[in-house]
Amino acid sequence: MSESLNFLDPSVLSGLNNLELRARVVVEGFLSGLHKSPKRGFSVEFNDYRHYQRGDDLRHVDWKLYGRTDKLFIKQYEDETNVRATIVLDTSASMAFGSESGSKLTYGVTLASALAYFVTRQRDAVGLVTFDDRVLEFLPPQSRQPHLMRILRTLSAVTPGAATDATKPLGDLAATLNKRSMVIFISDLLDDEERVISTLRNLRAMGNDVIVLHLLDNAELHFPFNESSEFIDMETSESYLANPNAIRAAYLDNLNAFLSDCKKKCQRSDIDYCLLNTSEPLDSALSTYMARRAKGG
Amino acid sequence: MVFVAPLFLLGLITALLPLLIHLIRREKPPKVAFSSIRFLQKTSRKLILFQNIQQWLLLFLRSLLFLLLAIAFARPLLDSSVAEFIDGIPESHVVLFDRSMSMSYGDATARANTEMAAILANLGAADELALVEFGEAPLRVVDFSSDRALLEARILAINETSYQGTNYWPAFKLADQLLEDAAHENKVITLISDFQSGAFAEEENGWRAKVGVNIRFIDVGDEEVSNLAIMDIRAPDFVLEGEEPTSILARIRSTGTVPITTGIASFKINGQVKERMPFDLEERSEAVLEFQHDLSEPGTFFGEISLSGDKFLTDNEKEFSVLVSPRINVLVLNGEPSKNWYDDEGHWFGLAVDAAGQSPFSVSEVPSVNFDDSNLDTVDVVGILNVDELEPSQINSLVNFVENGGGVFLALGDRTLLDSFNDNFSGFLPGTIRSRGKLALGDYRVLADYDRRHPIFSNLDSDWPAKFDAYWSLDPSEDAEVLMQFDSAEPALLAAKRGDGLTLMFATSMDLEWGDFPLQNSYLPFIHESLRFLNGASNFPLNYEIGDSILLPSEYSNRLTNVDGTELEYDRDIPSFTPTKPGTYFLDANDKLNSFSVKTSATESIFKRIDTSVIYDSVVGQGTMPPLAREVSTERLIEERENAQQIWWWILLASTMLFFAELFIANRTYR
Repeated sequence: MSESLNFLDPSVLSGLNNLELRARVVVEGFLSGLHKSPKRGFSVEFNDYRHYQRGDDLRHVDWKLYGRTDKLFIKQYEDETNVRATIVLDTSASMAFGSESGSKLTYGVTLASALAYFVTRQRDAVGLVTFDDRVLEFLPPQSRQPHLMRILRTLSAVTPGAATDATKPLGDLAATLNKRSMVIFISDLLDDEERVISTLRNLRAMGNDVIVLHLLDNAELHFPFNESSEFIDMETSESYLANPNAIRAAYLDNLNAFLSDCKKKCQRSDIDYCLLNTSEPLDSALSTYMARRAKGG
Repeated sequence: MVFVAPLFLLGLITALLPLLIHLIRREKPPKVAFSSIRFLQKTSRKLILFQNIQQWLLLFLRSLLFLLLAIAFARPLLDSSVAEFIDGIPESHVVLFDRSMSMSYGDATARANTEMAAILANLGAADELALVEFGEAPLRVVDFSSDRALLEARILAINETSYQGTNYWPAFKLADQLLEDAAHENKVITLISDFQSGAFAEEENGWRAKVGVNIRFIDVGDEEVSNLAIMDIRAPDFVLEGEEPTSILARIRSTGTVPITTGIASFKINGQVKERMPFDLEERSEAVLEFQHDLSEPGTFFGEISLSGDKFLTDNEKEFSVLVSPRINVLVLNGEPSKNWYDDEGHWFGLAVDAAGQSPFSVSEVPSVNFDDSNLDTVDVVGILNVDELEPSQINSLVNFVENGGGVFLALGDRTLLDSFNDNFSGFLPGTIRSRGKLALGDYRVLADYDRRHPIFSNLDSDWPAKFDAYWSLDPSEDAEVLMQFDSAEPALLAAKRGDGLTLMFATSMDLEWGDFPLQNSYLPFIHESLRFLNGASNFPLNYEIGDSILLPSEYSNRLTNVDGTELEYDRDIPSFTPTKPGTYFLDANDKLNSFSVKTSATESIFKRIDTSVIYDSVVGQGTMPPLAREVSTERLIEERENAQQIWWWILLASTMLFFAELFIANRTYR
């Protein structure tokens, strides 16, 4: 598994220019690792019975039950449930920050591609929304292969945008979701997190599954700077002159409070929350998706 | 607080280094693009403030560290009286500044001024300094003072070249005397001079400076000297009218270490060049040049001999004055002509007046009974010797003679008549006779006292061993002067002015009858000076050296001028004048005397030098320790004070503690 998962390393993936290839490497590598897991996944999970109707595939008739009841029942499995996943990718200016293995945006694009590839491979529908302070691209969920290619092309053309304002794009998305869907929100949440999570809570309240993949760079998580510097906000261009050594502890306290707050609010709203360090492999993101998918999303 | 090494205080500037480095490094912080600064901005303001305070505290500590190190290296001393110790033991310092003529050779004076300035510059705050300039005689320029500005002002005021000779002894004595009242125990005499050997006679009656008075020497003389000098001029003060041409001699010498052998001497009379004479000196020799001039007319002549051939001009010319006098006609009225020459006043008197071949007198003698008015036509002085009586007409002639400026010398004797003398001669004599002094057999009177400042006696420096066994007691008239007394305090010689003339009255005889005066050395000069006095001739010498105190003849109006016609001030009460410049001076003296000359000392032209150790050994008091160099004594004192205080040690200790404090805070402070 470890050898396979090496392909999920962001630094390795960043060497692959072809986004489709990158997504496939991620997903295949992830799945090949799963084969060794005692859990088989959702595709064989039994869910319910129904009466046989003409035209049903006889392979799904429960013959044992027929023997006890003399009635034909058809087994219904979870993999038969159609999932409509919409990947919402934050492309704001702050997502362009990256220190070691590339920017958060690159990581997010790879992650979104992998998820799209994975969802399509499961024959589920997948859509894409990119935004900064407004919706930049919107591709409604579809399960066809050409649609995946459109998503991948769109993702490959993503560039850092302006300041973040997720509220409106998420509101617009909510208006378009007429069926129960899964919303995968990929962002650094460097916005008004109160409002963003509130909007996500609304999406959840509408019956959608919501997964928040919170991307942060290793430098943002550990603040490894030493030299006194003038830090310039990539979204607002504001500057702040500081001695990193002097304020590191305070910074990390503030950051951890922010992360804790995000996590708590998501949990309270039944939103899956996963903090991703962009210097680490993408498997935890896929695992989170799988866990949510297994819950019946 | 004072600092031993104040230059290190410049290091205080380094205290700005930390601030400077801070400011330089602060100018360009790198810019870092960051996703969001919201978490930075939320950083506690107190934390930032604390960090800033720590940074400034560090800055302060580092500056303080540099500050303390600079102060420690400057070696502070804490003591209210320590300032004086920084300059060593405070000194009472007398500087003897040689202003003699030889100091004007080359740039000796400039060097001396530089040394003087250096002494002033190194004068400690508590030191006191007195300045004495000297040549032949010392002169106090500044009494003890610590006021450097005052001292500088006084010293700057000394700029006139002196023509005096050099004599160290009076200067040393004055300095030693000044140091008696000095404020400090550390007493030093500094002699700034060119150290001519002629300035220091080795013995001065065993005098030495007091014990504890040290002497330092500053030599500003030149090692190589080339000089041509007139060492002396020999010209007679008086020349008789009508004599042979007068010879004036000049002795010239090359006195430097680098000889000059050739040159030209010029001879001037009354400002006009009379002769030029080339000369050729052999190495280390001298030559005597002789100039002759016919001084036939009565009056005063002034002359000058000058040399060309070297650069030190001060001793290249010397002036002289000569008085050409007419002969004095003396008429002797002899009251007792005798065939026995030893009893004849006329004989002794005439012998004294006219015996020498070059006598300034022309003597004629007439018996008193034959004397009449016609005898006085060409006479300047009448000598009346042991005359008993004169006719009234004769007396009238003498009175008129004296009133019109003639002179009378009257000597008493055995022919003098007590009853008639006072009646006959009281009209013009300076006194009367009272009685004839009678002495016991074997007893005698001597001349015991006389007016040494009177023109008759001022040039007479002889004993008066003459013994008199008879004399007349005199009663001086109110306006008469007693010029000479016997040992009984009775008058022996009276003088008085009558009209325009002068009279002298001698109380005893001029022959061997009453004493042995004619046999004494003083007899001839006494008669000569008396006759010259009666004739109104001055015995005022006409040639002097710089520094001589000249007693000007009081009988004249004495308006004193130099060659340029500038009137000169002098002490009219004495009256005395001490010339400071060589040259010819003129006296307004009723056409009888009109010039005298002053020349420089020949010793100033000799540049042979003396070893200062000879002076030191001769002058410094026995038991006086050799002087320590000021720097050495200062170092010793400072070491002593520092060892007692060790302030620098405490400062370095504080600096070390400060250093560790800085390390501690710096390690807890983010940079």
